[in-house]
Amino acid sequence: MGFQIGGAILDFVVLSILNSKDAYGYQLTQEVRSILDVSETALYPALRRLQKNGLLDTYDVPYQGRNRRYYRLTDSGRQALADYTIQWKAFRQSMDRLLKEENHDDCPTVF
Amino acid sequence: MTAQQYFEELSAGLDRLDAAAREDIIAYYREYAQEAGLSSYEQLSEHFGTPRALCDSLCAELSGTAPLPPSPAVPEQKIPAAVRSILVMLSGQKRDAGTDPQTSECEIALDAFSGIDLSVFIPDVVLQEGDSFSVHYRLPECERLECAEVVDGLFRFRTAKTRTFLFSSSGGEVIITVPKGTRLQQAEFRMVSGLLRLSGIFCGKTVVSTVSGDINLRGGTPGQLSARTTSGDFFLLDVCASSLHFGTVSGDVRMEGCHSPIADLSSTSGDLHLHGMACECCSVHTISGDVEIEGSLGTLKVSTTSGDCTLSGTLTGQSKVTTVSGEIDVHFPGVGVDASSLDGITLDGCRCGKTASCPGKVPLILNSTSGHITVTTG
Repeated sequence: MGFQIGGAILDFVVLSILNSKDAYGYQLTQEVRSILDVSETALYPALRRLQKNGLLDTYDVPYQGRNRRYYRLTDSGRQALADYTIQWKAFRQSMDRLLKEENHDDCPTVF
Repeated sequence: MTAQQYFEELSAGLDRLDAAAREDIIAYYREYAQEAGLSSYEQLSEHFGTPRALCDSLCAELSGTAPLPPSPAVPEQKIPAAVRSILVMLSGQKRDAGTDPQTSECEIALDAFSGIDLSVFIPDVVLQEGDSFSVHYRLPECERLECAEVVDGLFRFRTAKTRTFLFSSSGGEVIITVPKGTRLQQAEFRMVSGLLRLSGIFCGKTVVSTVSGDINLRGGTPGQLSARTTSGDFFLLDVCASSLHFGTVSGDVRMEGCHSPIADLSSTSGDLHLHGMACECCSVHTISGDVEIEGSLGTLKVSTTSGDCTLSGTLTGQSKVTTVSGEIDVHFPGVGVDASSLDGITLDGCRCGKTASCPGKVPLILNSTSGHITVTTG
C-alpha cells in the first residue's frame, strides 16, 4: 500500500523505525512495507547506503543456532533523522496549505 | 530446487563485487529467507526475483554503475511526475533553462584562468580538457548560483542553498572545460555529496573536501593533492602527483598505477588499496581499515589498530609496520627483518616464535601485538 517512492523517503522511514527500536532485516522490511510500497529487495541497498554514510551500524545476536544482524542508529543517524523530521514538517504544512486552497477552489462561494 | 542452489547462483553472479560485499549480501538474504520461511529455490525466486535479476539490480546499485543518490537527495526520475510538479510549485522556483546565469542550467564561455575556486553542495563536478574555457552547469532546485566568474585569472564558482528541502530532485552537475594543455596553478573544490571527477588535468596544487562525494582522478598531474572526505571513496588511476595527502573516515582509498614522491594517507575505517604504486616516502595510518600496498617503495610507514596489512613489491628505505590486532603479510625481496608478535611469525616458510629476525640490506621492523606475521624475503 501507500506511495510508490524510494530514496530519501525510504531512508527517512528506516531511520524513524530504528529510532524507536533496533531491528533485523526481515523485521525492518515488514515494517517499511506496511508504510511504503517497496519490494522485498529494496531494503538491502538502502541499508548498505545508510551504513556506508555512517547513519547506521550493526551487531549480531545469536538466535536459534544462527545470528540475527540488528541495525541501529548512530549519532549521525539520529541527527539525520532530526533534519528529515524538520523538512518533513515543512513539507506537510505546505501540502496541507495546498490541499486547503484546492478545497476552497472546489467549493462554490456562499454568501 | 533448493535454497542452496539459489544462493550459489546468486553468489556466482555477484563476482563483479568484492568478496566482502558478496558475503554480506548472501548473509543478508540467507537470514531474510530463514526469517520468512523461504526454503526452496522457487519460493526465493517468487520473493526476490531470479538470482540473475536480483544480482543485476544489486550490482547496478552497489558497484556504482547506477550511482546511489546521496542522502537526502532523490533522483528526479524516481519521483512520480505528479508529485514532482507539486514540489516544483511548492519550491516557488519554477525556472526555465537558458543563458541567463541566474537560471538553474546554463553554458557560459569564460575568460582564460589559471586557478579554480569552487564551492557547491549536491552537484557532481567534472574538470576536463576541451577546446576553450567554459562552464556548463545544471543545479538542483535546492541550490542557486551565487557566482560564476573569472577575476584576476581565478575562476570562482559558488552556489548557495535556496532552502532546505527534502525532495531536492536530481543532483545536477558542473562541468568545467579548459583547453588542452592548460596548466592550472591551483584548484580548490569544496563539495558535499557530489562526485568530483578530474581527467588528465595538470595543476600545481589541488585541494578537495567533500562529505560523502567520491573523488575520482584518471591520468594527469594534480601537483600537491590534498583531499579530505567523511564517507566518500577515493579512486586514482595513472595519476602522477608531487605529493598526496588523503584523509577519510569511512571512505575507501584505491589507487592504481600512481606515482608520488610523498604519500600520506589516513582513514578511520576505510580500506587503503594501492597497486602499482611508486612512492619514495609512503605513510599510511588507519584504525580498522585494511591496508594493501604493492609497488616500488622507498621508506614505508604503516600503522593500524585492527586492520590487516598486505605489503609487497620492492623496498629501498628503512621501514616500519605496526598493528595491534591486525595480521601482517609482507613480501619484499632482500629486506632485513626484525619482527615480533605474540601470535608468532612465519619467516620464509619457517614457523618461528614470538620474535624473528634476518639480515638484509634494507631494515624492516614489523610489530603486531596479537596478529600473525608472515614474511617472505626471497
